[in-house]
Amino acid sequence: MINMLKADFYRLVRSKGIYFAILILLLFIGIDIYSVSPGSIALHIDTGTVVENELSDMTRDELQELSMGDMRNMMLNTKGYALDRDIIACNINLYYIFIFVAAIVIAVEFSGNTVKNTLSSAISRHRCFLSKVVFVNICCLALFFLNTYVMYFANILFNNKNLASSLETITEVTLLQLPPILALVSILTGLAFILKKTSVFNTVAIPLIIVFQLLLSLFATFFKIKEEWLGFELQEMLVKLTSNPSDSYVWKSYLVCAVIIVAFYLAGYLSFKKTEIK
Amino acid sequence: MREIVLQTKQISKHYKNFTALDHADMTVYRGDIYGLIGRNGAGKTTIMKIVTSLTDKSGGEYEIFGKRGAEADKEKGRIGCLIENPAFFGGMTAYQNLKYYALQKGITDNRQIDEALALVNLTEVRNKKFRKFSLGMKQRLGIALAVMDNPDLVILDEPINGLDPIGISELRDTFKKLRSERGVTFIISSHILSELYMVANRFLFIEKGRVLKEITKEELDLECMRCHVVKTDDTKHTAALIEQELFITNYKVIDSRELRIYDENLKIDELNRLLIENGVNIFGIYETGISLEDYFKSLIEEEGVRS
Repeated sequence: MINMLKADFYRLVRSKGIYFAILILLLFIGIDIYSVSPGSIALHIDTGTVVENELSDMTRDELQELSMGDMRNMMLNTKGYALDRDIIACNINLYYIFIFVAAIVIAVEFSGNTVKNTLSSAISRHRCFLSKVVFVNICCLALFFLNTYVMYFANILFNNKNLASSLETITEVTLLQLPPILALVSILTGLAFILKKTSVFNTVAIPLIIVFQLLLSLFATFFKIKEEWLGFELQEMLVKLTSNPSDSYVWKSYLVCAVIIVAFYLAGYLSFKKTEIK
Repeated sequence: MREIVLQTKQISKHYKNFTALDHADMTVYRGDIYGLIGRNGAGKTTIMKIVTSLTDKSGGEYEIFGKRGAEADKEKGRIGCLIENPAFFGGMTAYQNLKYYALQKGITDNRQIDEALALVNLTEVRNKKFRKFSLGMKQRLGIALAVMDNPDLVILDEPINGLDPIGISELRDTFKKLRSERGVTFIISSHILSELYMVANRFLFIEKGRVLKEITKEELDLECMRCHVVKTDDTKHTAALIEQELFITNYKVIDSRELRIYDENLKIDELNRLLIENGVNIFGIYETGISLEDYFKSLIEEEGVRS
């Protein structure tokens, strides 16, 4: 297992993809920090934060005439606004970064058929699967924590210190998000083992979150699902877990995450075990 | 008694509407260079894939170094292989690719990577990216990976594909060298019979998933040699007559109705007369001698008649 992890690390650092992923991650952070507002690639995110500053009283037309620099200056004067916490609430963005990792570590092996070199040696499918899962998780968690702390210190460095939470708070919020983040990683890992080819994996994984949200909205509209249940969708979970969630919500959401994790890893493993390697 | 490295017993592989391997038996001894001969889709790769766990068998069993099932899986570390096309990471160099697998296998001595590259003459291009390699170079890198951790058994699927004549000749020498110096056993598949003939000492002919024949090189030579085939109703009596009356000892009884005489000085009219005078029924006497390709074809035809 350690040998497999070492080998994957050796390959990962020689892949351009991972540097590209880190670059995009830093770009996300840079835009968020400069614009003093969180951004999200997902369909709809409401962090629930209400800010009070000069912008609050402006009409839409007035807002449109403002330059990004003006907006930034006004946002910097906002009082009692924890920008870092809001940015962390939008961590669904990391899903797109994690796609790079799952593709590089798993899907590429199937696309190039290089996985046969591993499996035809003394490494069993079980060990191969396990080590890939562990490695993807390590990488994604490293990116997750990198995102939090780079963003946190960049916010303090480039923005008003009043917009920052304490390090303890930010660490606590980050750790609360850990189960849904692991669930996102499990979805991608499972999909990579099921879909195998990089192109197919990307085609499914990239729009998955948005398509899922769309379907969920439609489902909720037609079948009148309780509002409360929608809070257990992963994107909603990431938001809610950053804003003082109740203990009951935390445990329920963690249970949902556990189910997702088990389901996707099991599906991925069973698919991998049955596959004939070409 | 020679140690058996690999033995398959009635091994089969079925897909939905297709049988890729049908109760195949084969035995590979230590030090063999074992040639798997068959047309495309005959089942050569399937045997290799089953043995290397790239696919599951539908029936039968196999032993690797005398171990079965889960115990056999543990012996896989003693096998190096190149199945179908060589697959590596295009963006990494030859050295980096081998280093990746060396790390996986727990090889800490980087000299083993250098040695493997040198063995297949890729030292000069060790820092060239795999995607820029020619087909022959890719093939050689695949072989380098297969032999990198000094395996006891090397399984190579069509290893000479894409190699130029000099490359093929060098590879042949490499196989023989590894066999004699390190006692490595090889299983090599190919549809180029003449090439396989030059390197292997035992052969398995396979067609449509069925084993046609397992044969040593000596036996193959004998089968393909120019000879006179005598078809009679009593090969035992015929054999006694040609030994006692014609003083020929260079012959082989194939079965109860066929005998082959390899003596170049045989006179057919003399033999014919001898057999008739001694009351042996003759169904035919003819000269034969076939190339490897023709021999393979005849095996396929025989199998076709049987099935």
